[in-house]
Amino acid sequence: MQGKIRILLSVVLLLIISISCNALPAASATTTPEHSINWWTSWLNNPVCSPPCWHNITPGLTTMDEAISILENTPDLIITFKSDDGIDWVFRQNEDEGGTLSTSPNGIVAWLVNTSDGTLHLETIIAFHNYPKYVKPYDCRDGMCSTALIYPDLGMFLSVFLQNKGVDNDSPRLEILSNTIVDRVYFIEPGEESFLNLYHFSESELLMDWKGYGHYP
Amino acid sequence: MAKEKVVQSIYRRFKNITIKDVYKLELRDLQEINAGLSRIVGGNGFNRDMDASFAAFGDITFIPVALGSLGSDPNTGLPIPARANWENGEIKVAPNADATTIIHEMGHILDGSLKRNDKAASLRSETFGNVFNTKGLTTDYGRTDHLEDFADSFLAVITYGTQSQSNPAISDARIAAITALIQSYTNADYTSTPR
Repeated sequence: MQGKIRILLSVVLLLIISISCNALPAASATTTPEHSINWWTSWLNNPVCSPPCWHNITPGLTTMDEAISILENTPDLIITFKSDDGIDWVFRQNEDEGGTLSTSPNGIVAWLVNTSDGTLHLETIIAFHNYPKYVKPYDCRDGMCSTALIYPDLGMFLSVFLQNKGVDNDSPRLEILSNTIVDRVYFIEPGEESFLNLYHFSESELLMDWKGYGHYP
Repeated sequence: MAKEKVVQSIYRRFKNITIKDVYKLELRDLQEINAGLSRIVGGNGFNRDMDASFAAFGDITFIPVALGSLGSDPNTGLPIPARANWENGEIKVAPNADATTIIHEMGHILDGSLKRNDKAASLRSETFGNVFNTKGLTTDYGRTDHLEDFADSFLAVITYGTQSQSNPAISDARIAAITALIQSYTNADYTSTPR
């Protein structure tokens, strides 16, 4: 009888140890900050400010001098080019990702963009910033379309590269999925006209309304 | 008749251009070639300095080819619309090429125009390898390799201009490099005949 109790206690003890050991890494993972190699992880999870502001740089408000000062004092990026018109950078932890900032003639930041390394999915951004309002293919060639997913109220648009299933470049047909890769995130002054002006579109250019994942039009 | 007018217009303005087998081209094909070349010498490019443009590209021959004869895009399966060879200045054009295609292919010719005359020289995309490295802000096609990065950066400057503010397609460094290259021709005196 004592032998059976001893075996039972041993099994219970082993079970408790096993559960504790399994639980430890999970508890540890929740308390240890993740070190991401992508700029957009901190942008989405711990934003310094809301779009169109990024790293306290706001298109239409921040001066070039202020932007230079901010970027030069941002340890996670390396400035690779600087002119009177703009600045280019790469991210220190992942040089496959970078960005560019451009200024207006009046010395105010006009727009800025950060690129991804091909691992940023549309659903990731939508989880934080909801759905875009408009879809606009802006460069269709050779069976592909660079396409903007526009958040006019935020002053932000995403650039995705989609296969054109339409008959030609002028009549594109696209499919947008939750796992569509976002190649670039642009920050511009809020308003539809900011996007239209940036790509030299006229006001009559049709922006397609977002109607969920699927085909456009 | 309309085709001949377009060909004459191209030959009158671009003394470095030859078009082979014109009869194989449709009017639309010729208009796209004309439109592409015209944009290159327009305000965002060589700004009507034809001598500088000739010096930059050298002699160019457009050769019409059948749809699909240049192979197909590995990603889309669609026929490739054109292919440039900077070594001899030939640009093969299929019926699905448009003005944008022409400008992009002329970018490839510009990339190799130094090396075309001096085999020891480097391609521009190699000389500025730290700029045309497919990283940072470039076009979706520009991310393919340094050759496509250069050709599409040239296209982006012709399309959107030399001012960073109005050119959201490529990085400031790419704009500066392409602009400096164009200006190295337009600022030089390539005039061969007295004005």
